[in-house]
Amino acid sequence: MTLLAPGMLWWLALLVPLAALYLLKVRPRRQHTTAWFLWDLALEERRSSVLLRRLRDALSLLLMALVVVAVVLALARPSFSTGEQRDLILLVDNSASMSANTASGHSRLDEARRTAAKILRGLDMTHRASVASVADGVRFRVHLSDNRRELLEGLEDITPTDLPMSTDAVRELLASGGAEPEGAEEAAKRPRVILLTDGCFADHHTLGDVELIRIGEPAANIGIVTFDLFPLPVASNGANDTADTHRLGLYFHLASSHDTPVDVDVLLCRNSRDDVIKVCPVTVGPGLGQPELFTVTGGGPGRYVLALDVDDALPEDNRAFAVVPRRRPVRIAVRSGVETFFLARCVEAFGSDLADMQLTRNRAEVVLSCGQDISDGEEAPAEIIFRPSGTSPFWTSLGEADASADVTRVVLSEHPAVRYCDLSNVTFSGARRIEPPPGAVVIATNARGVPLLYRCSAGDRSAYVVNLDPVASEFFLSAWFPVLVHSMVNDLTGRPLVGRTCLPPGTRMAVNAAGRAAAWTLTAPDGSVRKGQSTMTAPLSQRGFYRLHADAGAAAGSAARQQRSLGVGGSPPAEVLLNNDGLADSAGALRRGSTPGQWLLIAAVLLACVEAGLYHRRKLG
Amino acid sequence: MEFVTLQPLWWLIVLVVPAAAFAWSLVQRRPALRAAAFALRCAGIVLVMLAMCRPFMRRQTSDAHIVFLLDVSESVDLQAARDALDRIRRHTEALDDGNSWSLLAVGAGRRAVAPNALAAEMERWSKGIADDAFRSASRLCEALGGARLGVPSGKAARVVLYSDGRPTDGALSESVAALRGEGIDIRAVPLAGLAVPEASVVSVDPSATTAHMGQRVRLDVTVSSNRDMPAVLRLVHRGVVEREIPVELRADRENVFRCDAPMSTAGANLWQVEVVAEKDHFPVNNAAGCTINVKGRARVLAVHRKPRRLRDLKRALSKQHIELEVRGEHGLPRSLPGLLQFDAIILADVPATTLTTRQMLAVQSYVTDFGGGLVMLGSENSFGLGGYYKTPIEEVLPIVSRYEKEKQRPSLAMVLVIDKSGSMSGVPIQLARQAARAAVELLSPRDQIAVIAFDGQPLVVCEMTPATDAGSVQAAIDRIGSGGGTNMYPAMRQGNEMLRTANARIRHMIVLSDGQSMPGPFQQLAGQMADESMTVSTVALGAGADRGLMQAIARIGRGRYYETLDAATVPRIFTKETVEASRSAIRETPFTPVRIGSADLLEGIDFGVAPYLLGYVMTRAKPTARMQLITENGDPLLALGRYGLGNAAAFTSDASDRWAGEWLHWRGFGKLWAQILRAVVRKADESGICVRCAREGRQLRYIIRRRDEAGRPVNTADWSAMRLDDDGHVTTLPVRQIGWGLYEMRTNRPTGGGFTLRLRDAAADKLKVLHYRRGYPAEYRLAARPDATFAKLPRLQGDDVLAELSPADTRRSLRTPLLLAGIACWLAGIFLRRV
Repeated sequence: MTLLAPGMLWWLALLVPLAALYLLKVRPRRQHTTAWFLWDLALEERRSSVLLRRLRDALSLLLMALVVVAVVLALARPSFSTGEQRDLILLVDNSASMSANTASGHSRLDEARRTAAKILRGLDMTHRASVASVADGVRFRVHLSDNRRELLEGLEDITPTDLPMSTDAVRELLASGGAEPEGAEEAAKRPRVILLTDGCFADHHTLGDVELIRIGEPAANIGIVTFDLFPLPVASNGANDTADTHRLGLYFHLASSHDTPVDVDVLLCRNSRDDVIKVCPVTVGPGLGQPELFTVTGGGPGRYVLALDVDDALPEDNRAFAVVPRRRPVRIAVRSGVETFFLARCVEAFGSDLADMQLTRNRAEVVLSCGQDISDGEEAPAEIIFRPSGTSPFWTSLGEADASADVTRVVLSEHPAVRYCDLSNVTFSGARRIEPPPGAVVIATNARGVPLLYRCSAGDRSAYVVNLDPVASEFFLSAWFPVLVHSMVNDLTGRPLVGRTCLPPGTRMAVNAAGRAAAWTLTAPDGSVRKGQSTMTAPLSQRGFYRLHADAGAAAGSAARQQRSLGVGGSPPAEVLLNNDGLADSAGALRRGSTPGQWLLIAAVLLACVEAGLYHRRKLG
Repeated sequence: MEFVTLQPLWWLIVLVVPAAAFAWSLVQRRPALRAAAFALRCAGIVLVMLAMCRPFMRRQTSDAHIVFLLDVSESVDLQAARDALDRIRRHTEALDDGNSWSLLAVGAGRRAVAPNALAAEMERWSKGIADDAFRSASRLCEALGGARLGVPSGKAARVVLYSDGRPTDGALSESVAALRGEGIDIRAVPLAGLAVPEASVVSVDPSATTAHMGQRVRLDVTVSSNRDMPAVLRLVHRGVVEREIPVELRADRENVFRCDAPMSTAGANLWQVEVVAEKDHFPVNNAAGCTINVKGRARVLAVHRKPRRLRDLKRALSKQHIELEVRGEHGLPRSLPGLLQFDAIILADVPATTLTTRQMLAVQSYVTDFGGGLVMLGSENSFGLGGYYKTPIEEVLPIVSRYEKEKQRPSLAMVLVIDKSGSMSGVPIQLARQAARAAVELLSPRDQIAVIAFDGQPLVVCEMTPATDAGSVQAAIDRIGSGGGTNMYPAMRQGNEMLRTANARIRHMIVLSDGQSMPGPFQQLAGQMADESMTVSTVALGAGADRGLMQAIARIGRGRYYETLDAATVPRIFTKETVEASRSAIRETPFTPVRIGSADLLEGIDFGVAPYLLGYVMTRAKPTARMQLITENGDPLLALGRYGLGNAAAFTSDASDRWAGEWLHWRGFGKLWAQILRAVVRKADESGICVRCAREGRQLRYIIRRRDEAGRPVNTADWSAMRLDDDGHVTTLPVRQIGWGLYEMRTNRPTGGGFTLRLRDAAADKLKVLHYRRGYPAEYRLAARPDATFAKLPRLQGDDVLAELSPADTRRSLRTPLLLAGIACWLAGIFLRRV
C-alpha cells in the first residue's frame, strides 16, 4: 500500500489532545438525598468497580483513537496500486459515423459518452484523467483532473461532427521524439489512452498502445462517398441558347452496408431540397459500388444539393453539397482595322452563357490583333497576332509577304494550341518571311521552313504569332478559327481547371491562387464565423455551404476571387459502411470502486456511532 | 460548495444508532451538556459524510502550469538555445510551490527532459557530437499538440515556445488555434537562427513543367541567406554547368533570381541550381532542382565498348532527326529514372558482365512497365557471347542465345574448377553451382564436361561426361557444398589430366576462386597446358581473391581473366566463357539480308541493292518474335518483339565498320535504322492526363484529371498505377475516381531518395511517367521568414513567466477541511462529556 499524501499523517498528533481529554476527571454530579445509607451501599459497590470504570474510559478512548486514525489515514489517500501510476486519457471518437443511430434509438456518440461516464464514475480517482474528443484532430475537453464532476461535464461538451476519423492525430499526440528507445521509467510516465470508438476507420491496428472500447454494432446505412458536378460544353442552339441549355455532368458514388442491393432515389436539387432538377433511381449494391454518372440539363453555375431519399442509421451522410463556380471570363481586347468585326465575333461566341471570354477595352489579359503595329496601345501580358507587321519583340525580322500558297506542316501536333484543330488543311496565304526570337516554339511551318505558327516570350509577355493574312486565307470563315483562338487563349492564360465542386469534410482551402498568406473569413453552414490570416483556411468541418472571403493576394482584377462559395459533403467509405466487425475491445482493467480512503471514513463513522451508542447505554466512557 | 456525488449521504442512516442511544440515554449528565455532546457527535458524522461526497468550491486561482517548448533543431543557433535554457531555469526557480512546469525539447519529435540533462546534451552537440536524427526537423505543430498532454486542469496554463518559428511539419495556425480553444495561453520567444554564415537554395520554380525543344523556360530561383554576401548560382543540366550567375545575397529575405534555361534535350530534364557562397555551413541545402518534360525528337542511348565505332550511325540518325547519345561500356544508367530519360536503349557491344543485376532488372522494367525501346546489336559481346543467356535482358529480346550449331563445329571438352572453401559458403557457392549448371546447358551433344571442386583437397564432382548426360552432371553439381581451406593447384592438375585424355578439338578450363590458394607451380602448369593447346580462363571473385595469380594463369594459359566483386555475375561469366570457348556463335562470312517480314519499318528500303554484311551472331528466334530479316542461311538477322508496354529489336549483325562497313555508305542505312528505332522507341502518349501532386502530412496525394482528344472528361478510366522506388521496390497503387473525369491516388512520401510512378490508362493506351524526388530536409531550407502565425504570437516579456496570465477557474477540494472539522467536532463532544 502507498500513501499519496503522506504529509497528512502529521494530523495523527490529534491523538494527543484526544488522550488528554480522557485524563480529565468527569466532575461528579451533586445529588441531594435523604437516604444516605442507600447511597453508602451504592458507593461501596461502586468502589469495587473502579477498575471497570477505568477500562470503560480506555475502551472509549480506543474507539475514538481508531476513529481519528482512520480519518487521518483517509486524508493521507492510501492506495493499493502496485506500481502503475499512469494518468488516463479518455478519447471519445466523435467522427461522422458516431452520429449513427443504434438499436436503442440513441446515437453511437451518446453510447460512447454513457460508457465513458460509467468508466469515470467507477474510477477510484487515485490518479488523474482527462477527457478529449478525436475526429480529424484531438481536442481536450478537460485536462488532467481528479475531479470526477469536472470530467463528466467535459464529456457533455463533446458534440458530433461531420469529419472522418484520423488516426494520425492520435499517433502524433502520443508520439515522442528521440532515437533512443524508451525505458521502463519513461514508459511508466506515459499516459494510458483509452479510445471509445465505433472503429469505422481503416487502420486501427496502427494505433499501438491505445486501448480500444468498441461502441455500436453494424447497422444498415447508405451514404454518399463522393459527389461532383462538372460544367459540360453547351449543346449549342445558337441564338436560342438559354440557361436551360446548360449541362452538368453529375457524378456520385454511394456505399451501402445492406447485405442485398437496395433501390434508392437520388435527388439533385438546386439551392435547396425543394428545387429538384433531377431524380436518379439507382440500385446500390453492398459495399462500395460503382460510381454513377448522369448528364443534367438545365444546370448552370450555382449551389446544388444531392440527397438520398432513404431512411437509415445515419441520415447525415445522405446529403452532400456542391458549388459549381461561375467561370471568370478571360478579358480580351481587339486591336485591328476592318478585321475587328471577325475577331470580336469570335470572342463573343465564347462569351455570354459560356463565359469563357469577354470583350474589354482596358485591363485586358489577352490582346487579339491583326496587322496592327502593336507597339501602340496598352501592353497586355499575352497577345495573339494575326498578319504580323511592323516591329515587335516577338520577331527579330519580318520579310516580304509570300503571295503563293504552300503546304502547311504541323511540326508539333500535340501542342495545346493545335491539339483540337487540324491546320494541315488551312492555307496560310500572305505568310511573311519571319524570324522568331530565340526560344520560340515553332508549331507549324511551310515547305520552305517559314514559321507559320509559333509561340514565344519577350520578358514577362507571351504571344502567339499566326503568320497568315486571315482575309486572303479566308481563315475567318474557317471552322478552325474560333477553335484555334480559344486554344491559344487558354494556353496563354493558363486557365485553371475546374476543381472539385464538392469538398470532403476536413479540407483546407488555399486562401488565394497565389499561395500567399492573406486575411480570410470563413462562414460555416451553421452561421459561425472564423477568421484568420494564413495561406490555408481552417478545416471545412461541416457539411453544407461555406462562404469564404479572402484578400486577393493575386493578380489584379481578381475581384471574383475575393468571395466564393464552397460546398462540403461526402464521407470515406468506412464512415458510411458503419461496419466495425473487425474491431475487438482491447481495454485493460481499470481500477474501479471506492478508494481505501472512502472505506476508512465509513469505518470511522461506524465506530463513532457505535461509541456514541455504547456511551449513552453507559457501557463505556 | 458543490459536490461530485451525493451517494455517500446514504450512509447518514447510521445516525439512527446514536440517536436511539441518545433518546434512551442512561448517562447522568446535565441535559444541556449531554445534548450538546450528542449534537457535536452527529455534526462530526455529518461532516465526514459530506467529505465523502467530495465537495469542492469553484474559485479563481493564479496557480499556473507552464510548458516550456525549446526548439533545438539545426536551424536554431545552439548558443541561442543554451541561453534560452538558462532563461527557462531562472523562470522555473522563480515559480512558487503552487505552480508547476514541464520542459520539452523539440526537434524531430518532442522529449520531456530535465534542464540539466538538456544542458549536458547541448554541450555534447556543441562539441560536434551531433544527434542529427533528432535535430533534423522542427516538428513544432506536433510539439504544440503534445504539450497539452501534461497540462493539469484547475490551473492557468501557458505554453512558452522558444523557437526560430520555422516549423517543418506544417503551418502553426491550427495548432495555436487548438491550444487557445482549450484555454491554454501561448507565448513566443524568438530564437536566433544560425549564427554561422549559411546560404541555401530554397526552391527552383519553372514557368512551365512541360516544354518543347528549343523553348526557353524561365526558372525562378529562391535563395535564402543569413548574411549579406556575394555568391554564384550555377545552372546545372545533366551534370554540366550551363551557366554561372554572380549574385548578391541579402540576409533574411527571399532572394529571387531569374534565369532562362534552353530546352535542348528531349525527355525528362532535371535542371539544378547550386549556390556557391563565400561562406556556408550546411552543404546539403546548396542545391535544388526541378524536372521539365521536353517534347521533341526521340532520344536514344547507345552503349558500346568503343564509342567511336558508332560515329557513322550517330551521324546517320541525326540526319533522320533522331538524337543518339553514345557512351562507353559503363555508360548504362544505373537506375530506372536514368533510363527513362531516353526513349530507347541500344546495347551495341557491351558484355553482360559489366552490368549489375539491378541494371538488368531496370532495363527489363524500362521495357515492360514503361514502354521503353531496346535494341541489341550483334558483336562478340552480345547475346550469349556477351553472357546474356538467361538474364533479364534476354527475357525482353526476341531471340535467345541458344542456337543450332554448325555440323563442322569443333567439339569442346571443358573442366570447371570451382573453389568450395569455407569463404564461398552461402550465396557465392549457390551462384557458382548455378553458373556451372548454366554452362552445362549451353553445351552441344558433342561436348564434354567435368567438374572439380576444391578446398584443401580436390574433389571430383563428376568425371569427363558427355553433355548428353547433362542431367547427371547437374545433379552432381547440386551436391557441391562449402567448407575447408583453399588449395587450388591439385585441382588444376587433376583437371589438366582429364583434359589431356579428352577427345575434343577444343580443351578449356575455367577456374573460379575467391581466396588465396596454397602455393604451387601454377604458372608452370598453365604454360604446360598452353603448350598442349589447352586454354585456361580464370575468375577472381571478391576482394580476397589472389588477382595477380589468377591474371597470370589466364595470361599464360591464353584464356580470359575476369574479376568481379559481385557473386551474381558469376553465372554470366561462365555462360560467356562457355559460348566463347566453343567459338561457334559467330559466323563471319559475307551475306546479304533477306526480307521476310512486312513491318512498316522496312518500307521504302530496297534490300535488293543492300550491300553485304560481313558477319553475324547465330541465334534462335523466340516463338513470339516477328522476324523481319534473315541471313542467307536462314538465321535471324532482324527480329522484333513486344514485351509488356515496350518493344525490342535484335539485329544480329552490327552497325559499325566491323561487319557493316559497306552498309555505312549505303543510302538506306540511316533510313533503315531510323525506322527501326521509331518502331521501338517509347511512345508514351500522356495527352489527356493532367496530374497534380500535393503533400498531405506523410502522404502524397495525386489528383488526376483525364480528358479525351476533344477535351471532354473521361470517366471510369481503366487505371493501373505502379510505384518503383529507387531501391527497386515495386508497389501497385490504387486509383479511385472522385469526380467527373477526376481521380485520386495516394502514396507515402519516401524517407529518402525518390520514386518513379507509372500511371497507365490501359483502355486508351495512355501512359504518364512521374518522378518524385525528395529534396533535402525542410529543416535546412532556412526560409527567410518565420511562420506567419509565429510572427504574430504575443511575446514573453521580462523575467516573469506568469505575466499577463489570466487566472483560471479551479475546483478546490473541501474534503480535508471537512474531515478535520469532523474530528474537531468529535473532540469537542468528548470534552463536553467530561467537563
